Amino acid sequence: MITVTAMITERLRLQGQHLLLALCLAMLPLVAQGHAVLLSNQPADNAMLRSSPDTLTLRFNEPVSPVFVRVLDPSGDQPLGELPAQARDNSVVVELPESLPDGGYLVSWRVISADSHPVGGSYRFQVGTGSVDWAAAEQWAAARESTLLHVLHVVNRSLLLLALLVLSGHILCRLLLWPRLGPAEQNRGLDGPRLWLPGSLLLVTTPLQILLQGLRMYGQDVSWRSLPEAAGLGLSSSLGQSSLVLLTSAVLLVLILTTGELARQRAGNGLALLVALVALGSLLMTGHIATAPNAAWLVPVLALHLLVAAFWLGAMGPLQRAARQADRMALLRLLQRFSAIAIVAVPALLVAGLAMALYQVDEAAALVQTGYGRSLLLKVAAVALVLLVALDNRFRLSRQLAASRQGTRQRLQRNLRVESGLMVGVIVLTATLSTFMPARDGAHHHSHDHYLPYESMGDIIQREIEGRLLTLDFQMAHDSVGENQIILAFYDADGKLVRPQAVEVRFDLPELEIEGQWRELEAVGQLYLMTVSDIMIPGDWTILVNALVTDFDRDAFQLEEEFY
Amino acid sequence: MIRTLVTVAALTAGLSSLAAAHAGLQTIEAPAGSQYRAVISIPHGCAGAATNEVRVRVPDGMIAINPMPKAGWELETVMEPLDEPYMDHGREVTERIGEVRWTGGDLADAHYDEFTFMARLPNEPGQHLHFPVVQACGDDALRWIDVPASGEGAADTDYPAPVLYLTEPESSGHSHGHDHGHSHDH
Repeated sequence: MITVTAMITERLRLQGQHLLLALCLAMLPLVAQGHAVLLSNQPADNAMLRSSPDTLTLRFNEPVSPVFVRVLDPSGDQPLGELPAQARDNSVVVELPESLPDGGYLVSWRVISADSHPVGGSYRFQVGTGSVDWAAAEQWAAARESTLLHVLHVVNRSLLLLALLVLSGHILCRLLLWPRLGPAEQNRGLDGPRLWLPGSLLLVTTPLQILLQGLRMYGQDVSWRSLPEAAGLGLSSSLGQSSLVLLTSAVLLVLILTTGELARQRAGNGLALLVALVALGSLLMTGHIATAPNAAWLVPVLALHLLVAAFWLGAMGPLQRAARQADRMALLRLLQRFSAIAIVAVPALLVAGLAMALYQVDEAAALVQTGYGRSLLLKVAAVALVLLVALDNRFRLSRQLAASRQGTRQRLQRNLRVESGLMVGVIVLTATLSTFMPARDGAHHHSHDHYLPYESMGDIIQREIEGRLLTLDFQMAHDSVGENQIILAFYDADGKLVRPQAVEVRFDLPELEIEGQWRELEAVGQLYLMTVSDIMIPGDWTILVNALVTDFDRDAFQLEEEFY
Repeated sequence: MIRTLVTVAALTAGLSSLAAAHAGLQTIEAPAGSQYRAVISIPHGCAGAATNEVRVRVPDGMIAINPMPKAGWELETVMEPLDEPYMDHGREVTERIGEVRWTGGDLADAHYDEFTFMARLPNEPGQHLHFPVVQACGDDALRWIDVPASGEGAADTDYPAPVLYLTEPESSGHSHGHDHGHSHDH
């Protein structure tokens, strides 16, 4: 009778957990929906202008409401004071009341996107050709995001990653390693390690991450009263959303692991694995990889990377305990099993890690010049050390253990401690990486990155051309030869942004009788964008634009521009 | 004198467009306000492919459009409301055919064909009327739709829309037998 009741309660509990799990999974699409993305800004990133711009324009993929757009000089002052920012269709426009003196400027912006998520960023441009002390701006920008907040974020993120990887790694080990332990070892509690530490750590660091993210986004002097607002802001960010999924799955995981009977059942293990995967999956929802242009293949690569890292880290505790307490044969069996998995999994981890690193940093120089690159180099070095220790375990100590050499256990324990310590270092570096912008080409660069995406020595080209039906707003990133980005926007007679059915562009150089090829442009939202490298020779170029407005209406535009 | 010059210019434009093998109109000038037989000539396919659809946008101001069916082609029309309704035999006409489509045909690249509709021209002598034509060959299409910014004559592009010049109306005594009993002064 008692067993029946127990079984029913168990059932109910399981169902409750399924329900919670379903809730977690149901939350995923909520987070997957896109936030506003900055498509372009005028002046462009790192633009060098001949004279002060009249307006700043930030173009997004959807309508946004501006919170603020600030123009700051390298010392962090706002030379023009607070500027009113206006939303116009998908753009935020700031009219500058007076012209900016020659020098470098940082544009810091924050908007609320259509789905009520705050999004922010910064970029810089320069008026005049004088040299700008960006180092001062960097120092100032670094100080602006309070050092304390930054350090707290990295520490908290490290602890969170550590706890999450250990906890989910433990569950992987349960399924992959434990069956190798004899019943005696199992009864001695080797398979029931102390999970309260990573468990409670995860439950503390996850909400803290939401709050810290909110405070970083709040970006102003923080008082106790602003905490709820900052928490709300953090919660609405993509990191906050992924933290929410993580928190839910962490609660579930702790629930499953601490429910004694459930933890010993197969169903419990399976459920725990599923929840652990959701928890790890929450890391895929945001960050540099999830928002990279090639997320389709990068996200599975990151998933593999995380899974192996979790297994490796999760195995450290049990292996250490086994090295202390288990009998020699059980320890050997455990080590052999671990090696058998690691020999496949670790190379996969390394390949996945290197693939992502190569993607994020596409120029060798960026490895040394950017904070992201330097942290990445350190991480690779630390991983290499971990690998050396692991190889020592695998090829020397396992053999010595098999031969019952004296003192092998102590050496193994010491090695495992070193290995774990190095892994903690790797995780701290990983957490640090997430706070830098990757140095990949075309990424929006923050002020603390020296690395420039391209040489933009010339002026931006922005022209308005009246057609028969539409007005074309033509923008080109710079007026020098070489690869160039063009952005075309079309407005109808009422000044409304419209998207023609198709747009093509051609570049001619009449003085050399060069007639270019018509190139079809790609539509992004209401705009047409393209990277072109047709203008390779300095001279007076003619740019022709054809827009198919309706089936029977084509509008043609033409402009002449000198390229240097 | 001026009329003759314009006619010569229009004829020359028409001939040169024939020489470049553009889609064109058989008759490139007609008296304003008269009944007009629009014959659109399709001289070739799209880059070697056979034409299987011809669509023409009826210029603004033309009314009483009466398209001619073709054997082997489905005839479709697209109605559109008129900005200025008019009375026809005591009935108010509020819409007109805005687009004529001949679809499902098979006109080989090497062959020539004509697509015809009747309509009444607006009474606006001196105007140019453009007949944008989309010639589709499977997934490919040639769009003879370019109109010069000035609105006069044919566009100097690779794909100009066929154009008709409206001459002075003929004296009222010579109307074409069928009196519509209204004027088209806009």
